Amino acid sequence: MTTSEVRAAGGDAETEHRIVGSRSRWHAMKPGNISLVYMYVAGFILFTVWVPHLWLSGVAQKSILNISFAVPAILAVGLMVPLLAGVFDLSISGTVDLSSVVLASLMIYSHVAAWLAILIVLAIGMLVGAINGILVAVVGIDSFIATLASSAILEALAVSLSGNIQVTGFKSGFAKFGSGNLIGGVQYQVLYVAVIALVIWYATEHTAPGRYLQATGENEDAARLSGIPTKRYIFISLMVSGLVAAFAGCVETAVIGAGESNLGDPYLLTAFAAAFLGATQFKQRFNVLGTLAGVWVLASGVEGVTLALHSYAWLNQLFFGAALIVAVGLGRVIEINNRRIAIRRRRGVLDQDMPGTVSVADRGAAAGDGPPPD
Amino acid sequence: MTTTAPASEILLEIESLSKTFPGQVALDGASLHVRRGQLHALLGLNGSGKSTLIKVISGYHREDEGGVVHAFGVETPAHQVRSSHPGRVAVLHQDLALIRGMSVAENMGLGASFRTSRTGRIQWGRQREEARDACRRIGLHVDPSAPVGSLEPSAQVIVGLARAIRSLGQIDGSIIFADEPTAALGSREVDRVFGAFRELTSAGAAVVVVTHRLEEVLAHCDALTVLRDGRTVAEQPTAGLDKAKLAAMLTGRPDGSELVTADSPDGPVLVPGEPAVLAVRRLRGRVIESLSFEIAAGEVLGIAGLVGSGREELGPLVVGALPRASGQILVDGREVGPSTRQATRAGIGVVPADRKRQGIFASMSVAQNMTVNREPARLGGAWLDSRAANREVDSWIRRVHLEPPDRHRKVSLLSGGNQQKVVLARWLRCSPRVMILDDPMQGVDVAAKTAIYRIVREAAAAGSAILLISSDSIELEEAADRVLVLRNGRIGAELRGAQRTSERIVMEVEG
Repeated sequence: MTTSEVRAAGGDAETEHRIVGSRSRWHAMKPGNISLVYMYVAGFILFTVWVPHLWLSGVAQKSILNISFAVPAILAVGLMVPLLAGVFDLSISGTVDLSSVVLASLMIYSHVAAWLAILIVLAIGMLVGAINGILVAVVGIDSFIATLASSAILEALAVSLSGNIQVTGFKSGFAKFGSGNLIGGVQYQVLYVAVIALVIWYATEHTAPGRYLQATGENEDAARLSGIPTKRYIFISLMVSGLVAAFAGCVETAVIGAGESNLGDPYLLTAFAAAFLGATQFKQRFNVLGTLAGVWVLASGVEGVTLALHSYAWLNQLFFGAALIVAVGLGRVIEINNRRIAIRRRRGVLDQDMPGTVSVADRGAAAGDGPPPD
Repeated sequence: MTTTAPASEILLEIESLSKTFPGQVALDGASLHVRRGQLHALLGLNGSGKSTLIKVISGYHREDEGGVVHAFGVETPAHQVRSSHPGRVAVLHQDLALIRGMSVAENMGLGASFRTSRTGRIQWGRQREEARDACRRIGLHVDPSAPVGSLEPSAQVIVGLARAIRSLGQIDGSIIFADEPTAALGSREVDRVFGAFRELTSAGAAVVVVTHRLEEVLAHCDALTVLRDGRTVAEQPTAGLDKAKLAAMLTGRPDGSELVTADSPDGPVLVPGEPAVLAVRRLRGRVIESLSFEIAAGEVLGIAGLVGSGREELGPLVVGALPRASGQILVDGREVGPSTRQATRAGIGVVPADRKRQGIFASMSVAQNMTVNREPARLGGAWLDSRAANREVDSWIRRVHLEPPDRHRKVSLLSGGNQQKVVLARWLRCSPRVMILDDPMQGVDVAAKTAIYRIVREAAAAGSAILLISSDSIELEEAADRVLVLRNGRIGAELRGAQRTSERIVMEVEG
């Protein structure tokens, strides 16, 4: 029993204060809260009707899981950590580029063992994250600018190291690291998603440091005044995304069997779109489950349209770009709606106390009560 | 009232104006009468309704039903005074809304419109000339291409005023409202700003000035209106008044009345030989100059002072949110490092002045907001102990009488007073050695105020040292055992026991 409880027990008038407990179960099922699930169901039905033989085949669904979902999901979940801390990491695609080229060069040119090469690449990923962390948390450069710049530098390194050609010639067994069969056509890369997502989910949702990280992203000033070392959490979050991006680079390199200096480019937008879509789901902030759902729905959508129409080079970019706008727009709508509800509720409280005063309350006063729009 | 003077002389006449916000009555039948050519002071302590009155008249808030307002001889709804009489009402807001990096001429153009040629190019020559003339007309000689930020504070106020009155059709017969234009100025600079107001009133305008400084009211203004708790309690000419009478009007207590006595008249005192819970030694910041004081266990030390006296700087300095130039801070005799992290680890808790930006995590729940500074965790922090957290949060929800008592509710959905209770509970659950309350009652209604006083007293009784920094003299009188008045970054006065009346605090603060 803590001291505060002892004090509380001695306090007066405690009986008249009931504590409101759990939320209604329906709260979690509201369309605003799990719109992605509804969207997925709608899409699933659409493609089932449109191209039933292609869409419902195991090949198509496994292709979504292995090819379109796995690596973007690893990246998106890693990216979510700095986003949760309130900073961007645009350098994840550059990190994927560099790790792909370094991994291939080490294994093919220098004949380094696979496990050692991967460890070296992961260390490089953490180093990249640490440098980003120094730029953002110590020097104080805006994270958007700092990581945009470091991404360009990483790409440049990758191009110069590879001589702008594919680095090929892996031993045949290495592909298994990425696309080896785990069980029933599901590949190893899906296992990595599961493990990484589980670890990050646990750390962000169920540990005290995870809560501090979240508070830092929510309101850095208030977090610092609450005694949270906010700089440290921002630094660590960028190291995590660097590490995870480097690992994603290793997996993708194994899957395609070559080191490429532009391997990460298409994934940046996917990861951001998924993380932001995910932030509108389940929690109304960045969260692992929402992010995974975001990647899954995006991957399924692209796959479905490709099956139904044709594979177009521009399809992915269009789809992900539109999804990002929808995601951020959706978040904004939810926020505005919540503010309206809050104002209405407070009016309701007033209504009981002072009848007759509410009717003339105006929009101007309401706007003045809420947080300033920005 | 219309019978007391010719209608042409009275420009604005407000009777029984009310404005209710959710959970708070800001104006409760206020009245105001402004005459042509008059420099009129609008006075009142914090929360008395001055700003609300100006916001209603300038159209930002709509008044409750029941009030009667005559503007320029015509009955007008209060919030339409400005829109129904275009070119006759100007408002100078407290923050001036000037862009510091842009020139005087550019700022003038942003407020009204730029002089452009037919092709849309700004005619900078004419623009600058007009800006220079507009400022000169109210007594400021200024280079129109100088960045506003490079001007001294009083000149910035006058530029803001010049811009505000550009919207007036003519000066004669118009009304200009100025919301605390002198809050951040020294006394010489105050005179210059009032000189500008005087130019306007001699041209036939009426100027209504909101201010906290009593001597400038007595020196410059013709008449005054005093608001208290949203009601007008005095309307009269300034002639024949002195500071003591004014202070009594503001606080609502006649001179020399009996105080509400604290438990012991002097409050807790330092035990000789034992270190004070909080000791501040020769602290220097940007404004604060060599400030030293100590707080005993169980003592509530109040800090009073005007804007710019160092009052706003003290809390952030002690908690490490602003860098110290020099000086020491000791908690229980042990020195505390300069960072916020070190301060909080030493047992200093803070309720920051800017609740929205520095206090709450708006979209997080009540429970998360309360536990965010120290999460109850098992296994060395690896696993959040949500059951322990919920138990603790619930007990604090009861102790601070949080309304509604719901730990899942988003903090942004609570009223200001209840948000403040959450921030308080965040620290009190950790039994802090020192609790800094930086203007904790902003936007807090009376019922919540009483609850917060009680909670703070309990914390003091448990041995914490409380630093209560406040712009509200009544609050200091009611809650503090001892009051230090800051002036120009130094201690101007120390009030204890029966001295620490609201009137005395107001007088010492004004210097």
